Amino acid sequence: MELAFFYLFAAGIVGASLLMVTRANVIHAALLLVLAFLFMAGLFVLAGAEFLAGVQILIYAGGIMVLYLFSIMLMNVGVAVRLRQWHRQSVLALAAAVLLGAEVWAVLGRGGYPGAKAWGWGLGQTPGNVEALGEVLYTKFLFPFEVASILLLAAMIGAIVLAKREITR
Amino acid sequence: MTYILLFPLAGVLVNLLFGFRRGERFAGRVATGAMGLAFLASAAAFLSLLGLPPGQRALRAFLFEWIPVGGLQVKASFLLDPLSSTMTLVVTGVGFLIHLYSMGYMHGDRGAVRYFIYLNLFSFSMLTLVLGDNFLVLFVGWEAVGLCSYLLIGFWHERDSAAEAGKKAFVVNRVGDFCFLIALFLIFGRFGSLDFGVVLPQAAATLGAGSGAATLICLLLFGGATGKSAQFPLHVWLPDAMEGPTPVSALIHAATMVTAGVYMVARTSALFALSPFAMGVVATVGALTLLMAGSIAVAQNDIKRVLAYSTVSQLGYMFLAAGVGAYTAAIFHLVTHAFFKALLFLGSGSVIHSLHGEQDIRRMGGLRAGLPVTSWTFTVGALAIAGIFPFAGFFSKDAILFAAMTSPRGGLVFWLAGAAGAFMTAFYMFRLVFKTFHGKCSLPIEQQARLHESPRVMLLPLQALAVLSVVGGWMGLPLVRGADLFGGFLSPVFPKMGGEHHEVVLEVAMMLVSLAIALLGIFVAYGFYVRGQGVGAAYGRRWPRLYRLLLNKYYVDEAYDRFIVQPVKRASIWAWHAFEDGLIDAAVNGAGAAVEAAGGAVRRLQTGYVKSYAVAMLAGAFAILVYLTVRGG
Amino acid sequence: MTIPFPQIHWAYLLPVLLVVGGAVFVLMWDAFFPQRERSFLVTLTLAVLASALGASLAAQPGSEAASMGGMYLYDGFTRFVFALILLSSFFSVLLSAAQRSLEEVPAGDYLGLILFATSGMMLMAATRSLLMVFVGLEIFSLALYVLAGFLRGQPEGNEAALKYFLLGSFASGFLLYGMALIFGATGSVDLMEIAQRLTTSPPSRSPAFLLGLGFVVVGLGFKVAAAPFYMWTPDVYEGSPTAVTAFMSVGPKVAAFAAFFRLLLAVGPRAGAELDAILWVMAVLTMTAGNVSAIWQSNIKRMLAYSSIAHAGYILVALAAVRRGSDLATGSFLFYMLVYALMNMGAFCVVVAAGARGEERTRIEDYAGLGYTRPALAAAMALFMVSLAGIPPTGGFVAKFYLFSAAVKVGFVWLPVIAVLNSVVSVSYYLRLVVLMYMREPGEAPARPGLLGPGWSYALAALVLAAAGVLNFGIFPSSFFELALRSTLLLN
Repeated sequence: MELAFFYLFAAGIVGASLLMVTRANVIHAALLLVLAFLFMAGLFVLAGAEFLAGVQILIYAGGIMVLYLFSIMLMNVGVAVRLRQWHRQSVLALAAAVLLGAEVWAVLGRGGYPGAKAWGWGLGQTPGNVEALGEVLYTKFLFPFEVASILLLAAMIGAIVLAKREITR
Repeated sequence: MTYILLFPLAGVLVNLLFGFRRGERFAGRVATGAMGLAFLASAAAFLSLLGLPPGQRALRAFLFEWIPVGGLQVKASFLLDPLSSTMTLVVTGVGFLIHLYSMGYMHGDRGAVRYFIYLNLFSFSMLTLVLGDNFLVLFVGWEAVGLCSYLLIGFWHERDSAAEAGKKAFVVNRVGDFCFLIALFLIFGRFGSLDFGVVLPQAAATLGAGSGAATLICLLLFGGATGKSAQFPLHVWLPDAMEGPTPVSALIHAATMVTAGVYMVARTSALFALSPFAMGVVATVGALTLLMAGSIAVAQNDIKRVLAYSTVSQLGYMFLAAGVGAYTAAIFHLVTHAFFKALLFLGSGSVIHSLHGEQDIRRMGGLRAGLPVTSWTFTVGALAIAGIFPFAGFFSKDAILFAAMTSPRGGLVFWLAGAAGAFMTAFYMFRLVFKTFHGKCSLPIEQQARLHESPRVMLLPLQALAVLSVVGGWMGLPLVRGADLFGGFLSPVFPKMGGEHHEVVLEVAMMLVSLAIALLGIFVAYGFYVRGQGVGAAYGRRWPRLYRLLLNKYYVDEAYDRFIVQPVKRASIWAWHAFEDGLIDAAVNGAGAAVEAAGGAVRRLQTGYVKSYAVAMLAGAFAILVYLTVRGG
Repeated sequence: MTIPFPQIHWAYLLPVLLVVGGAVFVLMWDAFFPQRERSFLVTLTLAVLASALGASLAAQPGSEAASMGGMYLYDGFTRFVFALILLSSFFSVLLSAAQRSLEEVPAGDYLGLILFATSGMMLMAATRSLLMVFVGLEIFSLALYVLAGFLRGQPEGNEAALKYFLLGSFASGFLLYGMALIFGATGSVDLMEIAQRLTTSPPSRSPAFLLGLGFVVVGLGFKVAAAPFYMWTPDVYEGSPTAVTAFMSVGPKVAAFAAFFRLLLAVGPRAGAELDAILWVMAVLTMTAGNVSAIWQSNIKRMLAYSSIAHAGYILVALAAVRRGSDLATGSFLFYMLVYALMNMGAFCVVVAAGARGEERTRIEDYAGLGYTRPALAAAMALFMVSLAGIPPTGGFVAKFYLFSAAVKVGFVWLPVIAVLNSVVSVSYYLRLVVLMYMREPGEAPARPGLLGPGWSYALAALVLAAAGVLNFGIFPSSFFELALRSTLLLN
C-alpha cells in the first residue's frame, strides 16, 4: 500500500516536472510546478516527515508560487516567446541522463543502504515530531541553520541588484 | 666567492635604476666595470683555492635555506672547486673582454642600456649555473641563461627573423629542459637529495653501476645538455641565434652558455661513470655532431653562420671527449675554444661593423689592407681553431684526439671522426680567412674608400684574446711529466678512467698526424680559394647534390617542420577545438565542429553551448560513477 | 526541557563574524549614507578584510578546534585557507576599485556581495560537515552569479552570469545528491563520523557510498574547474568584470579544494583506492586541456582562464598525492595556492591597469609593445607570466617543485612527468605575451590613457604586493613553506 502511494507520488513529480519544462505558457508551467510540490509533500508524509510536508505546502506551494504567479501576471508575460526547445544535443542529453539514471538505479537497487538500520538516521526516535526537529535544529544543526540566513541575505541582495538593474534600465 | 656573483647583479641593479637616465656610456662602464671586478674576484678565489692541498680544493658558500622539502633541505649555496673555478675564470675573463668590446660595438644603438642590463644579467645567471652547489641552483642558472639568451637573440626585434630565431631557440631548448627536469625529479626520487655533495659520492652505491636507472638519468641529463649545447638533433637553434648582436654570439653562443651542457656532463661525471651505454651515446652524438656541423660549415656563405656551425662542431669535440671519459680534455678544449671562438666572433663583428652590416663572405675579400688588426687577430684565431702548433687549439684538440684513440671507451672510429673533423675545421676556417681578408676586394669602390678599422675599445679585446689564443694552450702541455698544469688542477674532480699509461712515441706520432691533417686542410683551402680562384665553386658544381645537401644543412630544419612542427600544430589545434567546443560537440558533428568554431565568437553567445557543456558534464559524471561503482562495488 | 547550548569558540569564529558583520555594515552604510564617497566604502571593506585576516592569524589553533560539534572547525589548515581567501578578496577589492568600468556601479551592493562570497568560502573550508560545505558553497556561488553579471548593459556579462548560474545549479544538484547518498550509506554528514563508520562498520562502505562519493567529486570538480567539468570557465571568466574574474579564479578554488582535501583525507585511506585512477585521469585531462587550449587564445582573459584550469590540474596532482597519504601534499597545496593567488591576481591587475577608460585591453594583441609604452606595468606582467610558467627564481617555480616532488615521494611516476611536460608546454603561451610586450612595436597606442584616475593607487598597491610576494616566495620560500607544512588538517 505504502509502496503504491510512493510510486504514485513519484510518477506525479516526474510527470508534472516534465510537463512543466515543456510548456510555453508561463502560467501553466507555474501551476504544474505547484502540482509537483504537492506530490513531493505527499512523499514527505510517506517518509513520516509531517512537519516537512506541511512546510512544503505552506511555503513553496502557498507562498513562493503565489508570488511567482503574481509577478508573472503583473508583468503580463503571458505566453513566452516560442524558443527552439530542442537542440541537437537533446538526443545525447537524453541518452546520458538515461544512462546515469540506470547506473544509479542499478547500484542502489543492488545494495541499497545496508547500514541504515544500524544508526537510526541520526534524528530522534520519532521522526516527524516537530519538537524533535526543533531540538536538533537548535543544537546539532544550529550553525548551518544560522548560516542559512547569510545565504538568504546574500540571495536577497543579489535579487535586488538584478531587479534594480531592470528598473534603472 | 659570493662577490663573483654579487658584482654582475649589482651592475644590473645600478643600470636598472640609473642606466636609462644616465645613458649608454654610463651603462657600458658600469656593466664592464662590474665584470672586471667579478673577474678579479674569481682570480682571488682561484688563488685561495690553489693555496689548499689538491685533494681538498672545494670551498662552499652557504647563503640560506632555499627550499625545504620535508626532511631535506635544498640550500642556496655555492661550490668553488677546480671545475667551477675554471668556469668562473672563463666566464668573467672572456665576459669582461666582450663587455669592453660591446661598448664600441653597441655605440649609438638606441637599446644599448637594455643590452648591457641583459648582458650583466646573463653573466650573473651563468655564474649561478657554474657555481651552484646542487642541481636546483644549477637549474635556476640554466633557465635564466636561456631566458637571457632568448632576449638577446631577439634583441633587434625589428627584424622578423630575429624574433623567429628567438622563438626557435626557445622551443628547442624546452625539449632539453624537459629532459633535465625529469632527470632532476628522478634523482630526487632515488637519492632524496639534490646536493652535489650528497648525490655524486653516493651515486655508485645508490644506483649501481650499469643499472637502468643510472642510464635513464644520464640520458635525460644528456638530453638537457643536447638542447643547451646545440648537439644533434637539437642543434638547429644555434645557427639561427646569430640574429643577435655579434658580441652576444661571442659570449653566449660560443664562449659560455652553449658550453653549459659540457659543464653539466662534466659535473655529473660520477653519474655517467655508472653507465657505459650513456657515455657511448654521448661520444657518438658528439662525433656525429662534429662531422655534420663541420661539413655544413664548409658550404655556408654567411660569416657568422660558418662560425656558428663551427661552434656546434667544436662542442661536438667536447662531448666526444666527455663521452670517452676524458673530462679534463673536454674542459681544456672548452677553455681554449672560449678564447679563440670569442676572438673569431669578435673579429667577424669587427668586419661586419666596418662593412655596415654586410655578412656574406662572397661580397668580401681583400679586407687585409683596410682592417689590419682585425685581419691578423682573426688569422691567429683561425690557426688556433685549426690546431696548428703552438696555438691553443693544437693542445686541446690533440688531447681529445689522443683520448678518443687510447681511452678504454674510445676507439679508432672516434679518432677517425675527430681527425676528419679536424681536416674540415682547418678547411672551412681558412676558406673564411682567404675569402674575407685575401684576394680581390669585391666591394663597391666608394665602400672600399670608407673602409676603416674599428675603434680602440673594440681592438683591445681582440688583441688580448689573440694573445690568449696563442698561449692559452701552454697550461696543458702534453708529454712532459708535470707540465700538464691544467689537467693536474682539474683531474681530482673527475672519476678515474684507467688506462693512463701510454707510450710517448704513440703520442708524438699522433700529434704529428693531426698537425699534418690540419696543415692539409689549410693547404687545400689555399689551393681552392687563393691559388686557383673558383676551384671550390667548380667542385660545388661537380657534385651539385652534395653541395645542396650541405648548403641546406642536411635539410634538418625542413624535416623538423615536415615531421614534427606541422603535425604537432595540427594535432594541437584539433585538440584545442575538441576541448574548447566540448567533446560532445565534436562527436556529434565530426569534422564540422572545427569549421563551425571558426565563427565561434558568434556561436558562443547562444545558450546552445550551455547545453553542450551540461551534456559533457553528464557524460563525465557517468564515467566517474560507473568506474567507481564497478571497481569498488 | 533544557536545550544544551553547543560549544562555541568565539575567538576562532571571529574572522567569519567580522566578514559577515562587515558585509551587513557596508550594505547599511550605503543605504543610509548613499552620498558618501565610494572610496570610503572601499577603505572600509579593505579594513574589514584586513582585520579578519589579523583575527585569523592571531587565533592560534589549539586543541579544541571544533565548534558546534564539528560544524565549524578551526585548525591550522583552516587558518591558512582563511588567509588565502581573505588575501584574494583583498586583492579583488583593490582591483575593483581600480577598474574604471566598475566606477558607476552601486558600491555598497557590490562590496557587500564580495564580502558575503568571502564568508561563504570561509565557511565551506572551515568545516567537517558536508552540510556546511554545501551551505558555504551556495553562499559564495549565489553572490558570484550576481557579481559575474554586475556590469549592466554588457551582453557578455549577462551571458556569463546566466551560464554560470545554470551550470552551477546543475553542479550543485550533483553535489547535494551525492551528499544525500553518503548520508544514506553512512548515516552521517560529519566527515569524522563518516571516516569512523567506514572503518568500523563494513556495510557503510557500500556501493551507495561510492556512488555518493562520485557525485560529490563531480560537484566539487565543477567548482575547481577540473576536466570534464571546466567548460564554463573560459566563457564566464571572459564575460565577467575583470576584478570579479580575478576573484573567481582564486577564492572559490581555494575553498572548493580545501573541502576536497578534507573529504579525501577522511574517506581516502579507507574508501578510495578507486579514487586514485579518477584523480589521475582528471589531473592529466585538466592540465592538458587547459594548456593546449590556452595556446590558441586571442583574448587575455580567456587565456588566463585556461591557464587557471591548467593550474587546477597541477593541484589535482597534490590531491592524488594526499589520497596516498603524502605528508608533503597538504603543505605544498597551501603554498601553491598562496603563490598562485599572488601571481594570478597580479596578472589580472595588469589587465585592469592596462585598460583605458571604458574599454579594457582584453585582446592579447593589445599588449604589443607595452614594454615601451608602459615599462613598469610590462615588467610586472612579465614577472607574473614567468612565475605562472614556473621558471625560477619566481614563486611559481618553487611551488611547482614542491607539488611535483610531493607526488614523486608517494610513488607516482608518470603523473609528475606529464605535469612537467605540461608546464613546459605552458611556457609557450605565457612567454608569447612577454615576447609581444617586448619584441613588438606598439600598435596605435592610446598614449597614457586617463590612468592617474582615483583607482590608480589601488592598482599600484595590488601590483606591488603581488610582485613582491611572487619574488619573495621564489627566493626565500622556506619560512612560509614551513608554515604551510605545519598547517595540517585535523579531523577530530
